[in-house]
Amino acid sequence: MEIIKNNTDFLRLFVRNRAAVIGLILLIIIILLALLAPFIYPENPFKTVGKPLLEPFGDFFLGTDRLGRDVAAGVVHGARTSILIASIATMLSVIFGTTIGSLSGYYGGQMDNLLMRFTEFFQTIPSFVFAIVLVAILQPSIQSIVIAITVVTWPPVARLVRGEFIAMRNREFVEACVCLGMKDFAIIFREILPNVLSPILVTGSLMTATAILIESALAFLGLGDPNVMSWGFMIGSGREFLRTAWWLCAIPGIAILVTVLGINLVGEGLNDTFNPKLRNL
Amino acid sequence: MSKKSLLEIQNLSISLPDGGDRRHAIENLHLKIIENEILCVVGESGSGKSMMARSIMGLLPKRLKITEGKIKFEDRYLNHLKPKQLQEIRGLSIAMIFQEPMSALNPLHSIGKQIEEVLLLHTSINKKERRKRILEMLSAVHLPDPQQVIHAYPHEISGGQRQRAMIAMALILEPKILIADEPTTALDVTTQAQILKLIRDLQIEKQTGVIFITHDFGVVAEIADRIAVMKDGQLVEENEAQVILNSPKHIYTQELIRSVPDLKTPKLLDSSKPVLLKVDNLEKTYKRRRGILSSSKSEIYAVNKIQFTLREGETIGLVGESGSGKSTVARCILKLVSSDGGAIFYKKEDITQMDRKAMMPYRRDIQMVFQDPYGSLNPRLTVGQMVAQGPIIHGEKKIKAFQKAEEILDLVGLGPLSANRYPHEFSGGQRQRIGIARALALDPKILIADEPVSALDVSIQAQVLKLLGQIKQKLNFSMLFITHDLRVAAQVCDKIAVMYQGNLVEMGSTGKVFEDPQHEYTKSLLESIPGRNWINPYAKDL
Repeated sequence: MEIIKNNTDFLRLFVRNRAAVIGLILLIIIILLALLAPFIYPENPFKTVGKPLLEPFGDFFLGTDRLGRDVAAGVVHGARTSILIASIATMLSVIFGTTIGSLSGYYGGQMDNLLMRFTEFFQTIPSFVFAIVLVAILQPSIQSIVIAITVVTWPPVARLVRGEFIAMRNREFVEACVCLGMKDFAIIFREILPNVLSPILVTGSLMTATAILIESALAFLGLGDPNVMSWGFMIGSGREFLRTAWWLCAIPGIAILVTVLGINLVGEGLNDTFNPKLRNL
Repeated sequence: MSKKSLLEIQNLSISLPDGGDRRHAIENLHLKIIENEILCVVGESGSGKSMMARSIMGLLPKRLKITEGKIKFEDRYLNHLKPKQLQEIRGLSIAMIFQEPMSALNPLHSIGKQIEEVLLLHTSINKKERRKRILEMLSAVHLPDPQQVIHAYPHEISGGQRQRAMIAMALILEPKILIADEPTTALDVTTQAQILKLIRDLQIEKQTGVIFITHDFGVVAEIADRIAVMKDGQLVEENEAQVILNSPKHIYTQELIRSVPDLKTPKLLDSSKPVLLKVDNLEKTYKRRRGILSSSKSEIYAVNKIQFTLREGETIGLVGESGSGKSTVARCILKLVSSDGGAIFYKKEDITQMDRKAMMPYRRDIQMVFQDPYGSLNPRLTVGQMVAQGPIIHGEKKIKAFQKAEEILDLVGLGPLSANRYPHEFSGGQRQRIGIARALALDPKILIADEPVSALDVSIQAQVLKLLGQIKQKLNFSMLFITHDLRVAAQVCDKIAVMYQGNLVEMGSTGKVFEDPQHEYTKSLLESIPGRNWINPYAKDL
């Protein structure tokens, strides 16, 4: 087993994993497109630019939809929406889940009971239905979608972090800190948390993919923010033309597929790098 | 009288994969196993002694290959046999027992079934006869009530009994050779004594040739006919047991034997010094529910009404077997667990009821050194950060704390430069020094050491104990030294407190406890010390 001693070692191990590198390249391209969207397609993606239902590789690179909107502009601007929502939601979810999980795991007993029952309350409701209900109540907007995704994705993080903390809290180095007189919060955040960061990072990266899927699904159902272009919205509005204009659904669909695949490959790669033992099984 | 040689290892070399700290796990090893004899293979961790055993059984990890040499058994070469042929020999002619009987036994099958498996593989006797043989064997290894044990599952019997079951399984076909890889290391000292006697008795009865692998010279003195000392994959010295134990030739063997703590070290007691710590009727119970549906709970005393006092500059050894509650006492004193009764006075103040804030000044004065040199250091902090942590928490300025950390690292023999490195860059013994440095950074008045050397090799153990002794003389703190190893206790402690099942059964000066034990349990504990009759040829000059 190889031990990661510093960042160079980490990079070296990560780069050795070819699938992860491909995933990373895909992801970087998509993020670049999303960042450069206002420069590549400076106009509003909702604007009609040509005749409706033009095929790809004609006047417009990826064709036009039924209202004559540029599909390529939609995909690039949609990437912005998806990545923005997914990353913010994941970040909030990881922060919230980690806080709940670490308190629960470190203190145990009544605190653990209380926090875990609270977590289970969220886990018992089917997550996608819950997300739909939340967005419907809060009115569709970027904020409400972020909130909905955060609310339905944090419980697994809390459970994971709790487990890691339970395994860590009786380790001798933690007891040594208690003996030195260290405060609980310092022990939780400065001593234990850095040691459980790798599984959290892996889960977080994989959760981003889930967040993108949830966001697209919500937009598909018409629960996306009506003011921003999104992949789910594009698929939703193109589904009536599935037989006559396949590209309306297929192109944003491929965009989702490639992004989720990229994120998953990177996540798996991180996992392999952090836990090299598992790879040899 | 010349005896028949059973197995010969001829010029054996096993290579390690590239990138290790050495090229060979075993290098040009010659070894003979003779009929009706116990050959002890001694060495520290990494000496290749277990690899040697595994190579005989064809159990080498895939990455390791025999590059040279032969293992000759009867008229065949084991390392040239096909897997199928090797299977016929394994279990039937050569059997093996391991260190950890719990992981060597399948938890899903009863003991009887697992032993029966061996008979099914190598014999064709019928069911009734198999059962008879198993019962005979189980009583031969002195398992109580074989009729019951045959149906028991591994978790239902104790560690010592599991090892007995393993021995029964290994010896039921009366193999010519038994390989025992540290079979008593995981056991308590009294159980160890019984198992050693059992192996010895059965070996004589069945005329077996035994390869006994161990790191413990006490065990060697107890059981060996012949001794082979290994270091870094090479055979250092091989001879009759008495020769090596009393007049070893090689310098490494001499050093190893010198590292074995001596049993008799009379200490002078000064009982006029003021009392620092007083443990008064300390109790700690664990509650266990009787069943899933029943609401009644049974209480188990981990610590039952213990009292003792620790004076300034004094070292008390808390001695006992696993589960005796000695670590719980330490954890109660440090308030890592709360106590359920009694009081702990530090300089006449009861600390059991104090909250975190009120505890702060005492935290400074009572520090702990832990057992596990790997688990007790945070892998994400540098050594300097870890040692400076304590003073910083207690209000020291950062620059000063780091300066002090460097001084202390120097004091424990690591050098100030080690402050910028991470724990994984250090060996087990060095890590234990880091642990000691962390505890000493706060200038404690009391140091509680929970098995601080039991995870270390004997030569490293001797160095760490010597260091503790030197520092203690220099800084003059009191020490509560928890150990299961009576040799270590004899060397380090002024007083010995013997714990048994949560009770303090005997306490007195080290010399008195060792020479004139009062309690029955203390007596059996002392009688179980392996190699107690062997007088170490090197007088202690500590």
